[in-house]
Amino acid sequence: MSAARELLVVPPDGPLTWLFPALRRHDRPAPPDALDMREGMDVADVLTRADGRALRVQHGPRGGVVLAALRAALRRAGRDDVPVAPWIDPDGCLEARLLARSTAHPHPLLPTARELDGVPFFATDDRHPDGPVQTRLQPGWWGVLPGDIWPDDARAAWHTHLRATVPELALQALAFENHALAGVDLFFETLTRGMRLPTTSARSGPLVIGIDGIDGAGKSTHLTLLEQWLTAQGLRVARHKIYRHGVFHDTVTDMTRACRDGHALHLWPLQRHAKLLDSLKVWRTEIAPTLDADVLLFDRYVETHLAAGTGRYHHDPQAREMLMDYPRADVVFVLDLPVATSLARLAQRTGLTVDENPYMLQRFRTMLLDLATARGHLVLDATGDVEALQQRMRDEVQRARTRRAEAP
Amino acid sequence: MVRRAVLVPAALHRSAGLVARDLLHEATLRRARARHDEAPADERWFDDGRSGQTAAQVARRVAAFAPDEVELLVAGTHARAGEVLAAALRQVTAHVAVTFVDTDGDYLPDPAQVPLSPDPAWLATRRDAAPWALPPRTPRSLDLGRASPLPPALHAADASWLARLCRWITEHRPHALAEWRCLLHAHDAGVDPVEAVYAGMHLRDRNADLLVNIL
Repeated sequence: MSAARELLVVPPDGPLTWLFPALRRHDRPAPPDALDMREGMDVADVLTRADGRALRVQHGPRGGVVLAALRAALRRAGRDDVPVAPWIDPDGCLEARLLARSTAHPHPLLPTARELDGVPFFATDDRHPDGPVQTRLQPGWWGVLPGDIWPDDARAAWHTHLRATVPELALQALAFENHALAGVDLFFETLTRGMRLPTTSARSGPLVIGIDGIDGAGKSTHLTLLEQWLTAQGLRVARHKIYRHGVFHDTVTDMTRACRDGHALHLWPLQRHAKLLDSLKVWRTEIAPTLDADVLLFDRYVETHLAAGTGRYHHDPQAREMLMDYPRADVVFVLDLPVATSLARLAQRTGLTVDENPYMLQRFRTMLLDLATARGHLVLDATGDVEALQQRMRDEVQRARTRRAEAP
Repeated sequence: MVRRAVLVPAALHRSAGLVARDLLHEATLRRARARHDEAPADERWFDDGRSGQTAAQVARRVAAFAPDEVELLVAGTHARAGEVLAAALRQVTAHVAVTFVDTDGDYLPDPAQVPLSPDPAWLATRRDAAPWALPPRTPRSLDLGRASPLPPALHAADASWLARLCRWITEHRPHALAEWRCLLHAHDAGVDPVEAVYAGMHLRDRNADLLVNIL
């Protein structure tokens, strides 16, 4: 390993070259002894190899994301003393080289469009030849989109252009558009989350039982019956609700309403994060003090958050990590209910939340069932006989108690 | 006069450049083209899934053609995409016949292909960066229950195999790791964002549906 006191860092590939690998040929080799993240390193790898030495990160859109991620990691490790600064590469980052070598694409509706080797991309920062371009897109998405605000006809023109020039990539480009507009930063996630998403491990302590399902499925009814049955056996039961509609209701509704013209979609994840933070607060203030109970009963569990996030914008990288405090449940029941039935039951309530609409309820239901399959949850027909369902639940809870008792 | 449409769904899987050819999908395309050319019809319409359009957009074009018969051929490893397109087609026409292609009858063993079952010995012999071809046969252990951007023939559902595969990629295809991590995260979450867009669930296209209660 180099004995240099300072190491240069070259960022890894991002969404633009994931989409158009041919553009990589315009990049240049890393300087000798540099930490070239294009060789598979993430932030943790860089810090391990740097071993406390100062870091200078190649300046550019991806470099800015890497720099921020490195500083955040060092802060968490209590190593604010390690200098991390930009490095102005005289040969330029890939984005600068692409701009220098490309030509303006003569499209009247896409003023930021560039073209190189037949590949369409966009310049959305202050290096655009015609001047700075304002955008709220995360920098890791540089080149993939013409910005976050553009007229419907320009958006349609871009989609048509994609299908005409790179049809085999058009759907992937639209998937990236979806995430970029929603404020999901896939590039950042690959720098910081490692190879696999975090999973919660089992822990000792109370038996954890959750009941999930879309609105109107009868969760409260069955929770009450289970609580009574368990209490009658002399068990100390604590019942909790982690997904609270009332909290932040006005705030999240206002944030979501701002998305109505389709140009502020980056607010969608904020609404989710508000609910995730509330669940974290519930853990600390209400659930943690009851960990000496025999049984914790949950009206909705972490699966609700996961289903809500992925159901809405098809990926929610942060939710699983934010909910790591919650232990893996011993038993989760999913009360499955047709959306039409749910809506009919909801109609009897006053006022619907943002998510209580036919599209989102169907997405929510689909994702809950999918998670149930992946995690081995018990799916029950919510329209079935209450007593029969309750008996199945009690049998399953009893099996879980036996497993706990027999565990080493 | 008989108007017949033959279609193949889009190939939605991603592999960060590991896979260059999907032989089962290619066989399905050949079979679909043969059906298009040979099946009796007075007017014919063919879509090979490469238009870059969503399933609903493809279905609208089919509706404009107004076929008497619609045949959808789906590679067995692309069943989820096939279901998405079949559902969209059934919105515009009642006559959709779906055929799943599980094997290419002309299959000849090729030692360069990913084997039919996880084989660490095979992986250990891969030393070069040459692109892979996925075999022209549905894997034995095929679970299409969960969405994933990864091709089923990469056997990502097998945790120990996937771990070995990740180590191989780290050693032999490090430049692909950033994108590979992105794909693995989606795989872990049980989502295929490209499939979601193909199915018409782009956030912007669904904005009105999502906000219906508060506008």
